[in-house]
Amino acid sequence: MKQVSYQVRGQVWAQVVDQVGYQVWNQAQIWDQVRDQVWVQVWAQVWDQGLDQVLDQVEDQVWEQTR
Amino acid sequence: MLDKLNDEQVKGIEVCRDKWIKVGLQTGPVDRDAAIVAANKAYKCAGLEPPREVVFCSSPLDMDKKIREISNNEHNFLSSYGFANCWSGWVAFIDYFHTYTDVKNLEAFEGLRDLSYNCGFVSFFDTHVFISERPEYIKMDDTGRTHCENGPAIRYADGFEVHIWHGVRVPKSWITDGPDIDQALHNSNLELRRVASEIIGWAKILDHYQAEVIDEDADPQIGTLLRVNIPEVGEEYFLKVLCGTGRTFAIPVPEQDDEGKRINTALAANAWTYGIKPWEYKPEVRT
Repeated sequence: MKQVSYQVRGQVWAQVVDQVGYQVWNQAQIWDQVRDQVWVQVWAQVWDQGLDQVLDQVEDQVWEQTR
Repeated sequence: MLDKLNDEQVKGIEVCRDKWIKVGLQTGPVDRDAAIVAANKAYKCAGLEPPREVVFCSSPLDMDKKIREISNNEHNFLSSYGFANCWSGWVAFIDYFHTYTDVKNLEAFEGLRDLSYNCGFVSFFDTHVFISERPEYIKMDDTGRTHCENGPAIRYADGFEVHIWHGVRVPKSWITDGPDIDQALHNSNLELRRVASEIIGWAKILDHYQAEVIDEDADPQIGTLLRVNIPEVGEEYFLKVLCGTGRTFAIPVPEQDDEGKRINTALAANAWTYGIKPWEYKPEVRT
């Protein structure tokens, strides 16, 4: 059994971001507007204000119970 | 080429943001049929054969167990999870362009998008994909830190749970029974020692160690200045006060004020907590 996380997430992510970049690259304000109001705000709500801790705490607990 | 957003596209920014915040914070059972379709699509989008088996797991701990079993201990949850619904910030950005604009060739992203809707943690392997359920609930304090003072802050349906006090993971017994005062104050982890003291309450700790009264003000809202010798910590000073809600609590105070003058009255200690001089302090109600 071989891990394929990079192919499924990392590579696909890079590919679609390239596509967006290619098609809006000369209109940086669109990229910035969507980045600031969608990506950053979702990240702030979902990640910075809680789920980073959820991940850390879940990882710690799994580590403790399985070592 | 996209060179300007129209009114509908601008409105879509807010809709897209709110949708993905909801997905990222979602709890409750995954839709397993939809998750299988999404996982197969994610592999196809990556140019891979679909996994032979989709293994559903009731929690991250169960996922760890199943990954170890199937991989003969070559892999585990901590070394392998590759995606989860809480990564929705990444997904939201691409979904906006995919949904609201005619930016082309974003189909490869649909698998990850659909997995976000339909999974907790995911680990991708060539022959197997492991998908964990989401938590039954995640409890947070008003600042967004994971927290619950009378039970687990995170709980999965199979009973896997995590006890957390304002963002710091603590032993289950600290929440269910309260920390043992001696054990808590001898904990080598300073942060855990602080948390234990918060859970127990300094007022109880001071009673336990029979703190010595240095000065007791007639006004209980100004309080009592105490000195206590805590084993392995040393001599500490506390102000024990009655707050406006009728609870007694204790605040650690220094031996000297910011100008190096010894704090020897409850009034001086109380004034120090507000950053003012004793003669400037006129108590109203401390809450």
